[in-house]
Amino acid sequence: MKNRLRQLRAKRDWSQAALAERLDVSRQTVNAIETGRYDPSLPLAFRIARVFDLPIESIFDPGDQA
Amino acid sequence: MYISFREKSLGLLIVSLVAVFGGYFIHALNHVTERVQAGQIVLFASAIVVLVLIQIIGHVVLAVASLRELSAKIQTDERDTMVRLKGSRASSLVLAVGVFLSLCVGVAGSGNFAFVHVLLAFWVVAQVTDYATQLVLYRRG
Repeated sequence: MKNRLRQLRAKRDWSQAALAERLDVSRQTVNAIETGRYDPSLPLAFRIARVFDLPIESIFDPGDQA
Repeated sequence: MYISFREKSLGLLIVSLVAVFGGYFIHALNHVTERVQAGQIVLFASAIVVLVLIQIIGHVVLAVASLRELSAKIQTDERDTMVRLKGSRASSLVLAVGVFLSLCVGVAGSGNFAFVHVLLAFWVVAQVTDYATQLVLYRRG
């Protein structure tokens, strides 16, 4: 699943650690999501959407999985 | 190359298990008997004590070297849980095969030496599989 997490984080000038703290996850998990190696759970995806104040579908693109 | 505390810890667990039980099995295979002897039980107990000591001391050293990382607010999250579950799944498959094979050895052979050591070997391999699977998943990102 593709996502725009890195671009959204960069736009706000947040480090991975800063975003991780807002999301209550480790920095390594933020990195894994950004690089597409880990798909977050639905609750975490909602937290991400809330942190960026955007709908989930504008952050995550299921691509072929949809 | 950044290596997290958790990855170092898993590396320590794998190396200590392989080193301690590798030594134990080399000794056991050079002293095969029909039944497990009292001396072998003492050796096994000693191996467990050495393993625990290595892991405690090793983790203290690793923790001291990773104080900054360990002072972070978040230590575990849903990805860690997923990684642990995948490790356990791989490990349980190996252990299931080991239990089946050791039962076959127990039924076919005489004495308990082979049965006990096949079961013990598969337990060690299952543990290593668990830790190695986790380590691979963490290294992938």
